[in-house]
Amino acid sequence: MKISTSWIKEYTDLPNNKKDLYNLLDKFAQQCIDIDQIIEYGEGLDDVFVSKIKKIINHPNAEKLKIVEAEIDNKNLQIVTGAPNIYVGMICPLIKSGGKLPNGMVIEKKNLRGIDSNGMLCSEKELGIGNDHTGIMDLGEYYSKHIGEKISKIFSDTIIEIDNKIISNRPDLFSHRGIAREFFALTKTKIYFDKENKLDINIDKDFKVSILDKDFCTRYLGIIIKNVEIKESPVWLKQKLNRVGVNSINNIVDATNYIMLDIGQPLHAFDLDKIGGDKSEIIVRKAKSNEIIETLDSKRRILTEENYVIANNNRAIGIAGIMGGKDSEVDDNTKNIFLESATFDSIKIRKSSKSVKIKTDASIRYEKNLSQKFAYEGILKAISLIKDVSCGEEGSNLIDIISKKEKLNNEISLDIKKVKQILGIDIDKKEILEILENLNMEVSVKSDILNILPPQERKDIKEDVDIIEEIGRIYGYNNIPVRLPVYESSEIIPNPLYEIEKKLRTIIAASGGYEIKTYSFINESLLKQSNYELGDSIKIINPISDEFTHLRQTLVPSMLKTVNLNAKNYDYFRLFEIANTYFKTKEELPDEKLNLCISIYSKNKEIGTFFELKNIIDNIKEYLNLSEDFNYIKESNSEEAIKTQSASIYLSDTLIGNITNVHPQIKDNFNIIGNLSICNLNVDLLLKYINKNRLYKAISQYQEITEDLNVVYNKKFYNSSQILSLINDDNIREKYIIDIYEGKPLKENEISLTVRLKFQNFERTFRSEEIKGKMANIKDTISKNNKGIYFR
Amino acid sequence: MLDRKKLINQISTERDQAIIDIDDCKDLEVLKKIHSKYFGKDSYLSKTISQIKNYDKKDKIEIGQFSNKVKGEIQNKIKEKELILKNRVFLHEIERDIDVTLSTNNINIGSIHPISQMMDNITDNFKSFGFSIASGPEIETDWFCFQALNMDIHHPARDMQDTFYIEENHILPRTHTSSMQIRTMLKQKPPIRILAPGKVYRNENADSRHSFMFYQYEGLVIDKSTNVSDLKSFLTIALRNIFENDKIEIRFRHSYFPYTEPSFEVDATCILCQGKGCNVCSNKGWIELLGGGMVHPQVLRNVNIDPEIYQGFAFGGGPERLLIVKNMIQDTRYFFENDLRFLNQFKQI
Ligand SMILES: [Zn+2]
Repeated sequence: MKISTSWIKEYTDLPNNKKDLYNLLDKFAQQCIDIDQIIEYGEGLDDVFVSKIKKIINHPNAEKLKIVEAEIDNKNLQIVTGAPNIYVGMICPLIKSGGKLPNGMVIEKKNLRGIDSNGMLCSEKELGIGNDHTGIMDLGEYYSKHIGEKISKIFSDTIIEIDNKIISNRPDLFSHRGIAREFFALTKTKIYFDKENKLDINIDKDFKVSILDKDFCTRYLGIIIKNVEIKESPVWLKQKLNRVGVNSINNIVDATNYIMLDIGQPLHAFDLDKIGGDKSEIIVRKAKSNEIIETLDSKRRILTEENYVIANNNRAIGIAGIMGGKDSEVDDNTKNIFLESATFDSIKIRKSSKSVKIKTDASIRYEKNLSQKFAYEGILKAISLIKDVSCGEEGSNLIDIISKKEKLNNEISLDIKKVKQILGIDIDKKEILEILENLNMEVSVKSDILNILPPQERKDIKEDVDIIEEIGRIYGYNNIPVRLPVYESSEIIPNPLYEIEKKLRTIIAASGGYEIKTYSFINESLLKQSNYELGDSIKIINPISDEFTHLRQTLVPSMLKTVNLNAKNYDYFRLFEIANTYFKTKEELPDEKLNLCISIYSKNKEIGTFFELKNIIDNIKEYLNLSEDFNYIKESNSEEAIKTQSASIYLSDTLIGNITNVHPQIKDNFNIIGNLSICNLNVDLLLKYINKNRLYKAISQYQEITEDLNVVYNKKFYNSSQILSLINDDNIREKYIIDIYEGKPLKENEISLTVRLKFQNFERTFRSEEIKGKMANIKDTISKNNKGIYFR
Repeated sequence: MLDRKKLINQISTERDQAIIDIDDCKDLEVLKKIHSKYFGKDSYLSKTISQIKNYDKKDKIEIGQFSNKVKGEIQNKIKEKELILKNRVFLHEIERDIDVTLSTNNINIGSIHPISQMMDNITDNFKSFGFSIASGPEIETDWFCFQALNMDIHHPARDMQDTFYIEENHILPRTHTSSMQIRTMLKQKPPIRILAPGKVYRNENADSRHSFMFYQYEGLVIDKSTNVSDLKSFLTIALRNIFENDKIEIRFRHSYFPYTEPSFEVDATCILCQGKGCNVCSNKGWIELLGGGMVHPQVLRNVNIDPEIYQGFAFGGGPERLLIVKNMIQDTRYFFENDLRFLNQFKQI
């Protein structure tokens, strides 16, 4: 919404000096309504003056040109022009030669076919204050008192633009009058109230209005204005609308728009003769299902029972509070109008507007719960304005039906002590009273208790904290000191899942992983590409695009997509993501499982990404201090797996996740060339295996003995973790694989492992014969109990 | 048994041989072997000395003195040689010249995502103030996300948060972490001090400032006496820590949220121009970072906390916003594109 500061000045004083005005606007933005932007309207008009055409003669040497004598500074200036619309007595803008237009063009003194031209008469487009370029801007008699003055004095304006959303609880601020009240509270200068508009009509003619839904339409005012002359609005009105971004249509429509912008009440004018004349009837009712109406924007609308219409006996002539009907619109031939000013229920308007998908300046105001008094004030001001700009006259009494009394605001009692209790600052009682009174609240004081009645349009003020907010913001929050708050200690509630997530990030990043964050939403085609099914994934009813239609149950597809993206620039990388996956349950809310997905990509096929990944997982065990080792069981339980190159990961009997090399078909689907290994872990399940204590284990002070064991086995019958588990001795402190060999002279399917064993003794250093004995014993035991294992 | 003279001769011969061995030695390993040859358990000298006890007293003294002298001579010779050989090795290592500007790339550390880094920074700050970290569901009921926060079904403020809906009625991906205020207050008795980080979702078309998924942190304090001034103080200290700049001031701008009263937008001194005004802050000298306010009494009533006894404040914002300001990131969308060329600019673990 755009607000004109010169319009505000009709209600309260604002600084004339730009610098002071901008300072005030800055304060306004902090304490009242945030300003999106400030627009200087009609800038660069310092060389343009108001003048009056005194005399016009034909150019002796050019048929299309005229020689004009224009009055300015009590002198006449000779100007040659080709504009078609000039006439003697016309008040219009003039720029003297040597002057500059807003677009930077300098007007030179010219000789046009033998006649000197000492300046130029301007169109509104040339001045940057309108779009009309068909002729010279006709300011009208209204501006005759300004002849000789700079036009910038009349038209330049500082416009502020504010976001409607941030005043959604303040229906009173959708108008210049309402916003002027806020300025006044800040400046404490003066406020000029509207003069009580009185209407004196003595016409013995009513107009029948029936309100069928009294909850929807709580007040309805209407009047016939007859013999109106439809024409362009006067310049002052057009300019006022243009400044705040509203297009001028004709004098009647402009007048209703003007009142809406001025005091916040939407109004609508129907062409009386198109709705059945003065014998007709206005009916406010619910729309019928599938009722059709063509609205002012020439669109055919199919209504539902969520909508309300203004109708006559035959048909709907407007969607109530939202938009009028095309076939009852005021046009150039309109002679008589019926003017409507009503109060509608905000929630019902909101529903209606949503269901018919139209938002208008009227509907956004009605949605905010307007006070009935606006409807009355609005129509009174509108009648006199319309009569003024259209030469019409009242054709009926003012109809005023209050079908449901408005709930009046309650008096609120405020203990002054609470102001400090909430804000933490001391504000003088006198200052508090002044702030509240400037905001048009009625205040009565009983020692430290204030009884406050907010003005009827301030429906947002319901309890004492609402009043405290008003005091705080108008007083300003700038003087609140910063200090260390002192609180009594309270229980710190542990959040183990959050902590584990944090640790995992550090462990994996330290292992070379880059954390990624992908969207929680996914679609079927990405799942299919990754060999997953949509299954019972939870669906989004109103997705942002086809790409994000369901809540994901796996992190893998988004991981594959990210690998594809980065494989274009890097030959090798490790990525990981920790995020929720979502599963339907019988409960109200879905189950959210925290997953960890890690991937290692290498363009170079020689690099064993699978085993690197496993190494990271085993590091997780160490660094999270899990009470169990991860067990890898060769099986395939993920959709992206190569069956022979994948494993389930267990912690004792609990399936924690899986690890696999990604199937070539899936890599191909994502245009990934090279090795790619992925693992998934269910982070929630890790929780119960975390060993919080790390107790010290004794270290022997005697020299440790290291021995390597070369063991050969057939991989069809054994795997390495089985082999490791066979190597046992009470004095082995540590055992791990240091080398793996396949190939000659070994037979097919045979693998040779070199296992390093570290023997420790707490009493003395082992003698070499003892170790020899131990090694022999280990070999004997294994060979005796397991076929096909031998030592080299 | 040899007579004294012959024995002494043999010892002399042994010494002469040792000196030849040592002189010929060119390698530290060989020198070690020479040492054990002459001083080991099975060496001639050791064996000889073990036989001294068989001689008479006078001979014993003479042989003993002589063999000790020889041992000393050999030991000194070995030590001398060792020094020479070690120096030769040292010299070999020292003489090697390297190009110190060369590097290898063998140590590759990854990085935590910048949003996680910032979120950790925020949670660490508030943990140090005695706040607990709260987590809750991303998919919420309408009641937790809106109604309990003073936003009825037809509240105009719902326009501010375009919501995704999922198949089941009244269930939705939360539009803000403020739902955690409600979950916490229902679970825990005051005093309450929590910070809740998490993902939120809004049905807004993506542009340089908006993503349909983003992160928020939500703070809540409920106590018998706590006020706007406390809120300002906590936020000021936290933001100074986060931006590592103790000159940062904050200001409260009046705003409207249905669940707080009074409500504020919180601006901080523009860290780029130190408040003087620049392009980034549109010459205001201030940058909007988050929102906050005093918890609305109706919200407290909704969770059965008596607003006559308890009051509190809440605040919430996005880590992305803080990162954009701190690192001058132009476009929010980078955070979820996961291009390593972006992520590796913010390495941290
Ligand atoms: Zn700046």
